[in-house]
Amino acid sequence: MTTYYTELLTLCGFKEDEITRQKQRIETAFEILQLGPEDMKIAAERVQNRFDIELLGIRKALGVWLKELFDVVLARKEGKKIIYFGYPPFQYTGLAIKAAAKSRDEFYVGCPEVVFCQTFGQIFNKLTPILEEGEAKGLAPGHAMCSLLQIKNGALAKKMIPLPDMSIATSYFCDMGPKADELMQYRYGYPVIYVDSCLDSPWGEWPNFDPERVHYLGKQLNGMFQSLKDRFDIEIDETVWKNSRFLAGRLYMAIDKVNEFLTADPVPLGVADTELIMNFPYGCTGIAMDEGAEAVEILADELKRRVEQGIGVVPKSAPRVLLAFQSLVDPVFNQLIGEVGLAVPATMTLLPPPPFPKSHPYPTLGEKRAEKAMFGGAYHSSYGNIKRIEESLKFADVDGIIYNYQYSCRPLVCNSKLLKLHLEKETGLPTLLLDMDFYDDRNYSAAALRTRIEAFAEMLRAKKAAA
Amino acid sequence: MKSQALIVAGIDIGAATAKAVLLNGNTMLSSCVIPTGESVALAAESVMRSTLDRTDLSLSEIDYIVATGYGRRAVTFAHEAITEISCHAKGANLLYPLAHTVVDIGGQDSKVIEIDEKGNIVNFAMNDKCAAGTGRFLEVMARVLNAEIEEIGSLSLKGDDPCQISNTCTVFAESEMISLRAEGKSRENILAGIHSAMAHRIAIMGNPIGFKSQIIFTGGVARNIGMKKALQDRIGEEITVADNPQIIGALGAAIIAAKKQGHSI
Repeated sequence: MTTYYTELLTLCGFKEDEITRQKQRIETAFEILQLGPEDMKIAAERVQNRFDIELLGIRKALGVWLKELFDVVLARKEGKKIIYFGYPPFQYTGLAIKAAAKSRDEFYVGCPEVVFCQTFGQIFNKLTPILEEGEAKGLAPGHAMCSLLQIKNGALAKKMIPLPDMSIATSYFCDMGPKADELMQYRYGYPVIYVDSCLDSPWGEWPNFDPERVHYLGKQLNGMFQSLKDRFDIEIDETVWKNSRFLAGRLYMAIDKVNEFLTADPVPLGVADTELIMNFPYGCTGIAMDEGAEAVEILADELKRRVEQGIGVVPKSAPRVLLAFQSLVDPVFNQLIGEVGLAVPATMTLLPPPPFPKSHPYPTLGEKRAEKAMFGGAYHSSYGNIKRIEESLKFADVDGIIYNYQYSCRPLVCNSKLLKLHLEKETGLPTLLLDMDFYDDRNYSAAALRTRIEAFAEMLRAKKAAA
Repeated sequence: MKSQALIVAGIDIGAATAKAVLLNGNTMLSSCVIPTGESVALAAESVMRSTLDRTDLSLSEIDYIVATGYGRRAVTFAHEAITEISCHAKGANLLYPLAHTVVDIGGQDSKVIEIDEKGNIVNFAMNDKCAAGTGRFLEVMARVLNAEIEEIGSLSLKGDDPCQISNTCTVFAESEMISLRAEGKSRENILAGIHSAMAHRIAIMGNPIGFKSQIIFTGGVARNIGMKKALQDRIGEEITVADNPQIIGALGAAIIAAKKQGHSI
């Protein structure tokens, strides 16, 4: 039977029997989210215009995000314990909770604001009322607060997502999450585990670091494990941690395959579409691990065929750029990169991590995880972040870098000028800085960014022609 | 390679003004500047018509048209759209072969562009979201002070004690100016402060690019002699205002049009 949401869900890779089977869940979720027939019409049009839905893998990836949305919205009604974590998440923490759980359905663990970006942003183009609610309930505009946190606050205030049994707030990358969680803890009364750290290391120190930093962050992580044990009776140890990696193994392997095909010339997939799969590991621990992995596997097969047939989203030999970040909410910006003729074979999230050296003999799980995180660069310092990109660029065949930074993100915005100076000097690659917002498209105009990106493309084309 | 009879046009649809240039080989046949008004598409048609009216040519006789400026994609009769950053670089290079930096301040954008000896972009910076540091900033300030936009540059040069004015936000600066007026500060000193604030803004934006000599000043704001002086004072380098600075983008677009047809100018 056709309903007001059948067209959208079918476009997003749902099968007919799946829609019928899940009818009640879908309708309850849409009712809670106040999404009606008009929203479905707008979303169906947006999906058709903004994503590469010729590819079944992309349609299914869109569907996985919708299922993640249903899961978070209905988690309390379906009797799950609920744990939210911040973004960017700390490696496999969410998955470790799932791995330690008594059953697969015991917990909903995820980052709801990322799920809302992908659905209310990318698909429905209806984030503004949620952002405005987040602003009205304490995270006011102009207070240099990350819009991602406004989304979480807004979704909680509008009762679109249930109050969690626990929230994990982390300041190993940015202190805004814990600050916002303090406000939300005060307002909504849910418990929060704070994982503290610091990002202040001297320029030039990475890949080395003061062991005190590892001890401190390790102690914080061990405290988090203990709190989870006390509250939920789940034990996270070395074995569980290892098992948690298997939960995401299939997804990571499939993403690796897609990455491999993205290095082809012409590049077979656009930025708007790669974005859909890259945040599965960062926002979810549920259905994205298996159905998401399946979608990415299908996509990889489709891209393999495109590469074999020489099909690309931009012409062969187009200038190739490393794009630092995709917008999590705005396919218009993401599409813009391809529209001006730039190929994107790599993004920051796709760059291979540097090889991990022989570990120091830290005794606890928390310290071991802390050491690895510190070595990853991003959680170490500005230098660690910049140097890690420089190292990774040795493996990326690109003509330039677009470093688009979140204008309200202190860790990203403070080092942007430094990054340009350093990378242009060390790699010789022209670097374009773009001031934008990955989670709130009210804070920039894609049309205004267009001139900068287009001029950068013209510059790279001229350089290529002259070479 | 085509003959010298090649006719090309560059059309620059900016936020404040629409400009067009017609070239026949190295010869500029005509040019025109009109206000953009409310409709970008109508402005494009109108400026092209006015430019053609100054010659015996018709639109169909133009071999290639390149559009630029923020309205470039709305110029339906153009063969191609190129950004104003590339076009200002080419236009400045033609008139000033020793130019290494172009400072272009238009109605809603400002740019600092480093160029090579062929007029190719080496690096550039452009103002972000905000109108501070653009012609719009000056327009708003002129309105508050009941001054004509054409006279504020010369008035600013008469200031002997420039006021301190915020360079970060047009709206803040506007309310600051109202307060300064209430305090009895002279228009000349307020305007000197405004020009200095805007020059500071441009200098901050361009510093990572560097202001390498010869520096060419283009765009509508280059006609403001107070801004030239404020920029020179701030940067500490001689600045050359381009001849007819408003049409440099359109000229560059025409040069690119000629190149597309196999002619190098």
